[in-house]
Amino acid sequence: MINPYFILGIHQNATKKEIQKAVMKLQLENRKTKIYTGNFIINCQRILLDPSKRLAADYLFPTKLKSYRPKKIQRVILEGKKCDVKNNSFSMLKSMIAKYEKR
Amino acid sequence: MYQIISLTALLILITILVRLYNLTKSKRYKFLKTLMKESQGKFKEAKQDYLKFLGKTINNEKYEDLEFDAIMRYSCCVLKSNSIKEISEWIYKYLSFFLDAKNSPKKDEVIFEYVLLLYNNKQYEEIPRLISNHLYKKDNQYVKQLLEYAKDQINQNINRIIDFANDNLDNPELYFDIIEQISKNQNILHYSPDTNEQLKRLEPYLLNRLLLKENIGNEVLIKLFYYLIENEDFIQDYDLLNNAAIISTRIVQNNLINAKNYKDVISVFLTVIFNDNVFLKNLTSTAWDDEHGIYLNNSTGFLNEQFLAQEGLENRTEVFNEKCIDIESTRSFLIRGFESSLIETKEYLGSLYPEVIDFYELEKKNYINALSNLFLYVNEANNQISSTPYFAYKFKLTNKIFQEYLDGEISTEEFDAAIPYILLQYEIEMNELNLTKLAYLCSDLDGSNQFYQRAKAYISATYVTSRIKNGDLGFIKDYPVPLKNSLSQCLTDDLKKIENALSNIGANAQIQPKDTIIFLKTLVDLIPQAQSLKIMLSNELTNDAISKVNSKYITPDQCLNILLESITIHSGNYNTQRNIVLIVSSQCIKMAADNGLYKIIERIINLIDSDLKETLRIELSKAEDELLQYRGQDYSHTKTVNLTVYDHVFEELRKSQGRLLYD
Repeated sequence: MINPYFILGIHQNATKKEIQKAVMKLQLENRKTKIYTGNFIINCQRILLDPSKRLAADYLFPTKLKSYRPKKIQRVILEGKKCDVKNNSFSMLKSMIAKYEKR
Repeated sequence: MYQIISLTALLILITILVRLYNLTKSKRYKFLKTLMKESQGKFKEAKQDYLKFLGKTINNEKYEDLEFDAIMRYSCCVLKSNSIKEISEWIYKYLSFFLDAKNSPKKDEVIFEYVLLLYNNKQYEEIPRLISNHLYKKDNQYVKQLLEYAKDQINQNINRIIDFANDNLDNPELYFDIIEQISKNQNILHYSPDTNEQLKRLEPYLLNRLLLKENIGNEVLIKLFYYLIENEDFIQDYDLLNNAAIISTRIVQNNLINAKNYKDVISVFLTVIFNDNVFLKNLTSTAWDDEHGIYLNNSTGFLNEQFLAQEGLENRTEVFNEKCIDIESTRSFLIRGFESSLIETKEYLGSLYPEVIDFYELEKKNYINALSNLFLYVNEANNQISSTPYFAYKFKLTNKIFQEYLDGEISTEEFDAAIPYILLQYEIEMNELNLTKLAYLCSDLDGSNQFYQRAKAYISATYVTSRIKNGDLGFIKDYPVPLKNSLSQCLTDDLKKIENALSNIGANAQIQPKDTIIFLKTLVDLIPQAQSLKIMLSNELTNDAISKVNSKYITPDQCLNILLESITIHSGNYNTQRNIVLIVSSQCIKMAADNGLYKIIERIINLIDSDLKETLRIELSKAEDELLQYRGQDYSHTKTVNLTVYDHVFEELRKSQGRLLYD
């Protein structure tokens, strides 16, 4: 299923005039590039000028989901006092040594 | 004096030396030295030294303090050593020792090191259990350390992911790697609830980028489709539903459907496109159509009026005019587009193509049937969507759909529409239904529920009639015996359907009378109370016997036996009665003629009714001819003929039937 908006390079709220202008522009370009057939471009125009077909073309645009731009997490607590488990893990060892020295 | 001083000094020196010697020999001193090595990161040496403190085997009950400490320190060294071989050996030998040991908090450090090892190797599954069973105490320093460590690691990961996502805006293929990383991190999110918020934001942010990108890779398109439909809110979220339907059109268009995904792709598209609530949700974002009214009266889709009110679709119209957009023509246009894309996959799909097209046609047909017969009555307050049978099965909606019907009256049309849904609920399609699956279905559907009872009967009868129509009658004798009662009940409930199918059985030239008789016998056995089936069986038996005896395939005696079987099944079978009389009479006459007992022949002829007389006379003349042929003209001799047997037969028939012809 083609999306005529993509083919003609126009936005969803384009007016009739904008559609016709885009069609003419594409037809001119297509004379050199010959990517599409003439009928194909006319078909795109027909779709966008028929409200019920245009609504179908609109349907092919995905709905944007609600989202926020994620922010990087500030490592405030950890920047100053770097969490180093390997070093901390000797706390038990240190206490044992201290215990022994007391004895 | 000088000597005393030097002697004292010598004694002191000796004492010091002895003490020093003792000290160096002390285990504790050696242990301390090893601890120092460990703290300097010399794990290899430390491990060897700790092993010297250990006994041959570790016994949970017999160890000294120092030995326990040595095991503990040794274990910590192993866990920090990064040697996979050593660590796995340690886990095999010593982990259970520490998990069972009561010597807490000494064992805590080993458990902590083990948890840390698991965490760093992304083996998250065991961690919560280890912490809650072994480390979780109020203010446990290790738990605190672990939480902080985990939180920091997650935060670093999130930052890396965000950086990565922002650096690869033009490379959406990588997004799923990121999303995968997020889901891995979600296992440990309960350690860091603050981070959860960032992850929640990241996922839709990346999804939007994927959705709004015009050209994304084929693999990503499939991944995106499944990502959307596997979302836990998929059924309730109209945006997700619409996006999945749009992606499904792209999948078909890009020749990406295959044996694995075609059912999902087709059913999602059809479901969404016929749900006006969902469909319209995606059409409200443009401004060009503001002047137009949306005409819904012509719609074949499922419409929830409550939704329309909620969404504020004020521009819908009741009267069609030139400023109206008929929702049905928009839908038809999209469906035609989808269908033409589907047809274009013919070359690509090869042998799978007919299967895909059949599925599409069947799914669409069943869904449209359900839309006009089934979903009309779905309670709108439930705010549920209508769906194709496969969609209902895939997303476990079938029970929800039928909730409305479970105890109500159900029309045949509703049943027709409901059956594909019920069958699919049991992972069966009608064309794949066989006796084993039918038996499974019959035994599984809730026996007390009126709706399922009817459905069960309907499916069984539909199955049996479809087999009858296909000329296959032998199947029924293979029905699993333990479930015979279940099928018997089902068939009894929907007998009319079977009777109708059976009434056309004679027209099917492919069906042999022998098969019909076996089939009917089994059916009569399954449904003994069905009089109509007994009549059919009795007729079939009689017709078969008569045609065989006429073509001299069987003898009259054998024919009589079959006719007697037929009359036992249906005592009132007029045709059978007549034929029994005919055969018995002709045999009696033949015997009488054979012996010249003409008076008896006369008596027999008088016993039977007028329309049989002519036939009997023909038989008699045949018998006379035979008699003449074999015995010449001599009628004078008379012999007594024992007719007791025939009299007995007549007598028996008279008693059992009560309305035999000669009575």
